[in-house]
Amino acid sequence: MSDPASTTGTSWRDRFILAARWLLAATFIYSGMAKALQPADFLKLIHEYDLVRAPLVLNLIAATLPWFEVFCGLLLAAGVAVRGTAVVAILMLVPFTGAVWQRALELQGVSGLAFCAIRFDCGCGTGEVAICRKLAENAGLIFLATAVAFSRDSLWAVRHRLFRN
Amino acid sequence: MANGSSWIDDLRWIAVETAVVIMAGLGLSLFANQISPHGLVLQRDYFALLPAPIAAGPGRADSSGPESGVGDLGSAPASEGGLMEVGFDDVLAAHQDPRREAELILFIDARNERAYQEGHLPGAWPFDRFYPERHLPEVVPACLGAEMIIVYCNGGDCEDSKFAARLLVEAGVPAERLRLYAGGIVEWTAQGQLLEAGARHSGDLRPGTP
Repeated sequence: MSDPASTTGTSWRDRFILAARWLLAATFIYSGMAKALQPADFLKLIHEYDLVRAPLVLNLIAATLPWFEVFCGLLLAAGVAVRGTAVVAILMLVPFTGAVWQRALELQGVSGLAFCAIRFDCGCGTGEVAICRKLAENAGLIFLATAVAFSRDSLWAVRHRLFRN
Repeated sequence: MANGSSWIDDLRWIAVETAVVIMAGLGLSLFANQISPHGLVLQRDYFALLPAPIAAGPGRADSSGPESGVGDLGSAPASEGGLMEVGFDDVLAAHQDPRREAELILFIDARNERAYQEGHLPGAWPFDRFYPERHLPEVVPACLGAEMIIVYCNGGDCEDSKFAARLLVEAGVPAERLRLYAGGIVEWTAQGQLLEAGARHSGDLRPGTP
């Protein structure tokens, strides 16, 4: 584990990666737990996206994704397999953001409202949200996850690299 | 600064790490779903409606049930799945009918446990359609002894009442006795009707929030 006592000589980059890691961790743990405690509500929401119709696949997403988010959040918080977990976070965030965008466009087509006036429960674990704010938040999270994925080390990490430490 | 080959090596290890995280995460997530009291049954189709329209035309009640005016409820067109829908006036009449006290007219709340506890139609049975195993042992015998069963959820776009009705039919409840109250809780409270908070027959009546 990186020694916190040695942080006196740390660069702004190290501190930025640590902050990014913990922000991502908090976001994933919070949104994951919110969905994991009510998976049926999450199932209904992802059913509304109409992207997946096979019941088994739909159930697998609703049953596992919330816990998977919590798992990734815990890894990031502890600093275990940091880069691989950050890549997984990107793999979750990018398609999900695309799906949210697509759903917002559909709702805009039905309602005739301005794009940024669209509000709906996107299944993000935070209830109903304004779409433009949600997209901006996700873009920020993708940026942070990318930065973490390219980090070569980080402070307060139990095992930054799972292999070849 | 790292040279080209070390970067490629780095990327390889990141890919391996990613694969390990995915595999471990999936395994743990499946286990968590399995042991969670809110876990989903992976093989179940939660969005299957009744396969074919039920032969319950307007005004037709279950022929096996006792004759009753309330049994004629359901002048609205059949909804998807063939179950008849009833409007607020019919639902209110059924709710005020003395046979509701005798459990000959039942109300089934198809929303989740939390929503039910916050407030349901007075006397309604809880039936979270995502966890039918918790409710079927009590609800089915009650339904089999009833003349008419009105199933509702939130109202609006809510479809839980349809799916709950499907589960009841699969459990042996005659479809002809089932009615869907499409207006649901939203319409009930908007009409100024009281809700019952907590358990069934708790007596804790309070106005809902439209």
